Amino acid sequence: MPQQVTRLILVFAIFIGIFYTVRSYFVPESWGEFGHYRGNAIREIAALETKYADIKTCIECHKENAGLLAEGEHASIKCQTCHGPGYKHNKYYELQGKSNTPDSASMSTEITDTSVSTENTDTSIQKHKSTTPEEFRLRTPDDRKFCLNCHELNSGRPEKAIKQIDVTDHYNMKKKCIKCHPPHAPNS
Amino acid sequence: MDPHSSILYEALSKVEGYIYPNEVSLYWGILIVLYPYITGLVAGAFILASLNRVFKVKALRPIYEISLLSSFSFLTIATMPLIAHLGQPFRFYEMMITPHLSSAMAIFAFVYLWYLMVVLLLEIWFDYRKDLVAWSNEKKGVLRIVYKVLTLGVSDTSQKAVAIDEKLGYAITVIGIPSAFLLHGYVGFIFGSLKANPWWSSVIMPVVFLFSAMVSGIALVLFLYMIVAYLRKQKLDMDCLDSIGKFLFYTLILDFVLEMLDTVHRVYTAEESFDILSVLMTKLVVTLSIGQVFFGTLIPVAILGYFQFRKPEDHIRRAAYFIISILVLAGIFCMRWNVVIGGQLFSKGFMGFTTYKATLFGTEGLLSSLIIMGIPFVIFAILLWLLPPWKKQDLVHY
Ligand code: HEC
Ligand code: HEC
Ligand code: HEC
Ligand code: HEC
Repeated sequence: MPQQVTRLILVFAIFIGIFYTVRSYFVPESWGEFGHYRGNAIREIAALETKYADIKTCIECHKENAGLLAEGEHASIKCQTCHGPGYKHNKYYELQGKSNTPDSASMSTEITDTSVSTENTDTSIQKHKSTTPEEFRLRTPDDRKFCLNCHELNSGRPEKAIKQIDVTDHYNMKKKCIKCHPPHAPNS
Repeated sequence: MDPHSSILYEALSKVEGYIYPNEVSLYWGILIVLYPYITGLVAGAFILASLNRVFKVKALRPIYEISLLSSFSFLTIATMPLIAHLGQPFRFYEMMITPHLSSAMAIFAFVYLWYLMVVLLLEIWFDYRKDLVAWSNEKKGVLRIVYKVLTLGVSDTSQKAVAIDEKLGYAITVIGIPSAFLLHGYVGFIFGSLKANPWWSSVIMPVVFLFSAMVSGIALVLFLYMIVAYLRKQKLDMDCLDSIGKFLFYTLILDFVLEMLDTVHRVYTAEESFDILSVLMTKLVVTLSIGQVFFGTLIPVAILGYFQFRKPEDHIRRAAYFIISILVLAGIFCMRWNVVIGGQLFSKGFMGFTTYKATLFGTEGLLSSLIIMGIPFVIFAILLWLLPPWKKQDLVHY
């Protein structure tokens, strides 16, 4: 074989050798374990703190609310949309072995005065008073602003998909929406 | 207005009609315009070199080395716009060490390596080997070492060895032609295979890209040849200029006909995307009708066509060729712009438009694109200094 050719083959062999050495050094250890990615990526994600609880678990303890929701106009919305992801809350009560079905003793609803809120001049509203410790408590957004996130008149939203109201012209402009529309079954 | 809505309203001021939220700002900006532009220059310049070597067009001999070296200088930076565009530029090598063979984008690294290592480097090496040996004996100091390294330690310059260089160089040019087609056909394929985008999705895309690549590569070599001759105060070879002009004329016409074919096909089939695409054409007036078609194609074709029948005096032709080379280079840039930017201006719902404005600073801005476009010219100058074609021993061997 001519000298040029043997020399070129040598150079290419060195180049490929370097490539493979570099490759063995740079390819992450767990790469290719399950597929075309780093196997550890899965473990890292699995080790992240869980935040979201499945709606099935909510239903186990909150049969009444779930039942209301399933039959009402808000059936297409999940509990988490309004109450937040809820994993901690879930775990807390699971460990306590409590449930919140109507026959459960832990149910405690009182009438409280919410007029302390500056935004809201609406008094004497039935307010659920939670016994859950702060850290595990879920939000119960009862203010008008919350509902209006989805229901305020907006020309970009098709009326077919969601009913909208003109806040300046919808019954009482101060009253909380949930006073007239129970959140879990808004038209009842 | 709260900050949340002010961002929304600012974004909305840039759009027209109904557009999906993820289409408001373009993902592929000016850097991605440069990418097909640069690879096109590479492929085109190489094909011009092969015309001399494989198809034995004798008149093109003076620009053989210039074509190869310019092709090489642009190839060295062909990946730069892509890397600068990545969200994680420092991870680009991962694509090569863990190749995913079913991803068209990931394959580019291999198409690129093949073209760089197997085609261009080898061809230049075989072409210059004899001279490298000679220079490594003549020069002193660092340059001597550089030339020595470049010879890879092969010092045989016997008649027989040179004949082998000749043969292998020829073989590589022959392999190089389909490889150049592959390189740029690939870039066209990347766009043509995006079936979600009616402006891109077309089987003819790789072919159109290929011919526009040849057009731009020929114009680039024409431009560089004239600049180099001017700087070296050398006389231009009018025969060579005329035959570059002739090939430019033919490829321009072919390229234009192919694009027209695509357009006619779109007009005739008038698929559901047709309405929005016709509105898009009106939005691209500056880059499409004026830049690409009028200045980039019609004027050069008219002048070059005239030269095929009448030959005005040399200095007039020289000036015309120089202007044409710039017009064509700009025209093909507009073509890449129309493809890349144009394809992202309209909504996939066919109901609205967004706008694109390149920023000046930032990795994706105008400045960085200008820098990227400037580097190959510097590399080209260094290569000419290191491997001067005019100092080769036997200038006319094929
Ligand atoms: C449309 C938003 C919305 C959805 C969806 C929703 N809730 Fe509620 N929920 C509220 C609001 C608002 C309150 C506060 C009512 C109040 O203050 O009286 C509330 C209160 C509650 C309470 C406190 C006790 C009570 O009955 O008032 C529980 C428990 C509850 N929700 C459970 C659920 C569960 C379980 C789901 C899913 C099956 C769910 N919610 C879905 C808006 C919602
Ligand atoms: C293991 C049973 C259990 C599960 C599972 C559970 N909860 Fe509860 N939840 C309770 C109990 C018990 C209370 C306390 C009721 C009270 O204080 O009146 C409560 C209270 C609430 C309240 C009132 C505010 C608060 O935090 O005290 C909301 C809202 C609520 N749950 C929503 C949910 C949602 C949404 C889920 C699913 C992600 C869920 N719950 C899962 C048992 C459970
Ligand atoms: C996540 C978005 C969302 C939120 C928050 C929300 N809703 Fe709804 N609401 C819907 C959807 C979706 C429907 C069912 C589609 C429709 O409007 O017909 C609905 C339906 C309703 C309806 C029945 C409309 C009809 O006549 O069909 C009422 C009333 C209503 N919501 C009131 C409320 C009130 C009060 C709140 C605040 C507690 C609230 N919504 C919060 C999304 C939302
Ligand atoms: C004083 C009681 C009252 C209050 C407070 C009230 N609504 Fe209503 N709302 C009604 C009644 C009654 C209807 C049904 C008749 C109608 O469509 O006007 C209704 C209808 C609706 C509908 C359905 C509209 C449609 O087109 O069918 C929506 C959505 C709604 N309300 C949302 C809200 C929201 C959100 C709030 C709080 C910002 C709110 N409402 C506050 C009484 C009230």
